[in-house]
Amino acid sequence: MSPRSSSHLALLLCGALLTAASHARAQTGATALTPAPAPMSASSSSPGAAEQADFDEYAPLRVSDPFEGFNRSIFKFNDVVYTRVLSPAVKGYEFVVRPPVNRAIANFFDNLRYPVRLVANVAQLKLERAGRETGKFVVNTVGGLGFFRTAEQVPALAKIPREDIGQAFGSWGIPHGPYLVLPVLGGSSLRDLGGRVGDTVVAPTGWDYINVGNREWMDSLAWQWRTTITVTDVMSGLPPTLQLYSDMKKAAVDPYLSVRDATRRYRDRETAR
Amino acid sequence: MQTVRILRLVFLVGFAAFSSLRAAPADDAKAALVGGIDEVSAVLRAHPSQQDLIATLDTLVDKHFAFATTTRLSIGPAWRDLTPEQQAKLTTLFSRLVIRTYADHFQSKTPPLVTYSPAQELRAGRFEIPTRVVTDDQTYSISYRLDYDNLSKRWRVYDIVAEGVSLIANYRAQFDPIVHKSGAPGLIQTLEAKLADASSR
Repeated sequence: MSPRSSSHLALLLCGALLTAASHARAQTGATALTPAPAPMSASSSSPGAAEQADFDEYAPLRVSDPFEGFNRSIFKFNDVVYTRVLSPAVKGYEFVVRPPVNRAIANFFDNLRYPVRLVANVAQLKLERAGRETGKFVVNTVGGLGFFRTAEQVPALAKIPREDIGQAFGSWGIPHGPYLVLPVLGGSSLRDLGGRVGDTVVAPTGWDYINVGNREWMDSLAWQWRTTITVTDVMSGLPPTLQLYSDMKKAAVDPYLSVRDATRRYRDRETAR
Repeated sequence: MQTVRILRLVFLVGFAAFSSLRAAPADDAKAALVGGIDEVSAVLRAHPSQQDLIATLDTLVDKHFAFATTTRLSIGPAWRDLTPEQQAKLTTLFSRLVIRTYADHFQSKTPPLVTYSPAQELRAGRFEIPTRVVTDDQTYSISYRLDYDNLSKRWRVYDIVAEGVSLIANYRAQFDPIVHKSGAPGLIQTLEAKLADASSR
């Protein structure tokens, strides 16, 4: 057995053990999806104080953005890439790959990213969730060949909060650091950039980067195939993202600040779950 | 023994009456939201032209949306220093921007499927109603915040929180630097320019 396949086996075994271990816990601990309670406003009854409490509740987030000028120029560059390059590309892609088929492809790559969610959950000691993710992976792979979200029919395996390595870093108390706009990928932070690198290395599509074991499997694929896999992975996830960006841009008076606020709030909420 | 039984009955009836009184505003707020979303969905199902959609949304929004509150909170403490004319102008411009955005987004789409969770009290007269919205195979968690308007005697939405991102907070993040730099006139000018740009497309 090659070292690579043995590391796969170890991963699978580890997953199976976690499923078994968490099964008992899952019986009692249904994951609460209730949102965090909104902060209560000041107890004072005077209208001025109540109004001030309202204003405070909606005070802008403090986002460290020392590279704002540079970030804004990358943001402008991304805008051109999204509207002039990726939107037409996605239209062409959607013309060839119809939305139902694309959903299946997106599901396939999402299912493939199971190791990222597993590692992120284990790193946060969210073992019960790691077990549910493993169950979901097995059901989707066996029952839906990765293309269909069969696991959503199983109540215990539906609606599992998504985890990634950036969130694990956040749960360890690592602060965001400066806000960064990454070329093409968009708004992030120093911490989440580190997380992304981790995600890429852990995901099977990125196993090319780590030198575990024998790389015959990857090396045996022609570069055309490797490129096709990467491009399909990216394209299948793009349509909703580009739609969201275009909506936000239409609504915003300062799209840069709108996206910065939304990115940070969204990430913090995901990390807290 | 009889007295104890009667007392217990009185207590139970009283408690039931009290709890139904307490539950009433939450139910009313939820009913108002469900009614509002149903009305908007009915409009979308008729696939109106964009002009018609904006016109219809205008009247619906007046009924179901507390735009004065939304605008006040989006501007923040600087609101207090504005003249009533500036406040009214900003409220009109801001509501037009939001309505236009929603009209653009929902035009030619089938109305989303919404499931509601029980209302949670934020404070007296304010509720948050979490929902799950399914559209085009995507699921979003969207919470609506409502408060009671004494004038119209209605529950109205003043904020929408989508995936943890509040509409008010997001605009506050954008408005703050403009208000700091060039005050209310600057913000009015920015909104007017944005609307002119949006209508020219």
